[in-house]
Amino acid sequence: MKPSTAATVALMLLFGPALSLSASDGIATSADTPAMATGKASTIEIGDQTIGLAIGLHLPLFIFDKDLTVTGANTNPGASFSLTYQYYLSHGFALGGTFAGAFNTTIGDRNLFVAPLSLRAAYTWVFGSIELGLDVEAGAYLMKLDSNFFMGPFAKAGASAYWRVMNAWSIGIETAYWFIPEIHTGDYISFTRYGNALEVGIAAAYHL
Amino acid sequence: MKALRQSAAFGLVLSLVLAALASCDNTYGFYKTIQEEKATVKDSTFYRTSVRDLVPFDGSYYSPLVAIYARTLASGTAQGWAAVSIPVYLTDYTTYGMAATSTTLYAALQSGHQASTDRAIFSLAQGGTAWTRMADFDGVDVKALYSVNDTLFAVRATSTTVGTTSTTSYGLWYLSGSTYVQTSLPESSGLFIRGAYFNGEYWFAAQVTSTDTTSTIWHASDPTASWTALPSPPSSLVTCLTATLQTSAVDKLAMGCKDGSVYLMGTDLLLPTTGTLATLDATYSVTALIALPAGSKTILVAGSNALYGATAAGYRESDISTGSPGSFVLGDVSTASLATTSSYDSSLISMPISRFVYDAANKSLFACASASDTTYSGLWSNAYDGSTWGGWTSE
Repeated sequence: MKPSTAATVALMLLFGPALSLSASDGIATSADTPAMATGKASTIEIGDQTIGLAIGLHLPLFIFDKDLTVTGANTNPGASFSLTYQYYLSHGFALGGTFAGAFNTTIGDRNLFVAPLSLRAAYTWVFGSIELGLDVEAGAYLMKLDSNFFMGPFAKAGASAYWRVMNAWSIGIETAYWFIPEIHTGDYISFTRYGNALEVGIAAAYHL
Repeated sequence: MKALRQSAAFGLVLSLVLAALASCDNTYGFYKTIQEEKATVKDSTFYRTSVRDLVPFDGSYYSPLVAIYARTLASGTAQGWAAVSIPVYLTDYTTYGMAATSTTLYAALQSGHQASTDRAIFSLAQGGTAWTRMADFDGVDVKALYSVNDTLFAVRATSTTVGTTSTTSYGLWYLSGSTYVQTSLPESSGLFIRGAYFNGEYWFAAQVTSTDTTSTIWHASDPTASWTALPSPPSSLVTCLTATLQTSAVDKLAMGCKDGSVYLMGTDLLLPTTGTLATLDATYSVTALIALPAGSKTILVAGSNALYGATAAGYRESDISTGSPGSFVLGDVSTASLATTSSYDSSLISMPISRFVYDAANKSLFACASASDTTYSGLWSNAYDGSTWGGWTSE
């Protein structure tokens, strides 16, 4: 990331709402007057970058073990967030990364937190002011259950639909399937399990 | 300079990753324990309450909160708990003690009206439905009832005021027929703790004077007999007693102490030397003891309460099959017998436990605990199938 881009990212995180109002002042490269009523025709150019922030529900689905025996998740619906950066290598294909977090409580009232950090590949199709996307991610997660910690590999696949409300901003919805392997080794290999969850949320993307 | 900053950043990231990896626990199955969890019952009668005791009697379980709550055995776990109505008091009363002999359930109650001194012991006969107010001890300040070897004992409080200073002493009485008779034990400044029947004798302990740092432990073959003091009691206040004989051939008197130590005394009535006694963490006092079967083993379970700012309480287990105390292990280790890691971690892990009660006839263990600082029930049950324990279920 170029220094100017990094500075913009930092400013955007700190002053996102203010930036959205002052986009036409030139901080964002080509922001226009908001066009909430009609949307803004999207274009994606090579080298475009976006930063997305999503919040929503995190719905644990099921757990299976190495013998593929499936049981319920025993975990209550919770909340999730994700912060995504992506860089377009073509008119639709982008690479980037995501930092996310999901909070849930178990049926026994324990607190479960999963925080994945992953690399991302995405493709976006543009239909006027509508942007439809598919993405896959792979990385690692840090999990905390009460006072216990664990790290493991992580994978995620998702879809999104955005409405380009202005040149600098899109808003929309997204959903993603989380695959969370908990892999143990040695004497504890029988503890290996695979968690599965669904994330559904609202999202906003800022076009740098 | 730029290269130096990049190296520092890389080092920081690497340190964080290594620290995260080092904190990971390969020995703990996260999703496995979640799979094994049982749901917290938030509409439980005992949700976030402090449960002191439970008494099995005549096909029902009775647990005193402020009023007594009861459910029938047939109603099933966590079902049907309801307040017990007593003549005149209805459900407006405070329960100070409850105990059952083989034929009768007794409860020491005080009317719930503020500043009331209306107190009495009520009884419920086996097969009956009506509680009866006992004529003897009417109006007496009874602080506890214990049943030992099918004999009912009552701890009676007597307050004396000299000037502006009020002191309370406690006497140990037993029920003879329909009359309470005081034992020959001296009045004590501390409450007599729940007694035990061991080696053909009744055993009780109490702190005799307020300056005592140890308990006096008495034993007698009959409540009417002369009581003898154990010459070398534990070096800390004794907080609980239990006999181990009911579950196996391990014939010991187990004594839990305020300093976290647990003594197993044999029929020679000699306390083990310092080197052979088992100790809990010194920051935990022992608050409850029970000996239980666990397959081919006999385990001693010690409920605890935290002292000196420690946060967790819960219980620990020790294999006493050989008659000697082994090491106590926390209830959530993989070798624990009463529950799986997840069952313990999502139930009693952080609760002070006041009593364990085992209903041997129905192979059900109850843990009475204080859940006031948790989001759990204060009463838990655990079923035994003759070889393994099923784990804790919220009542």
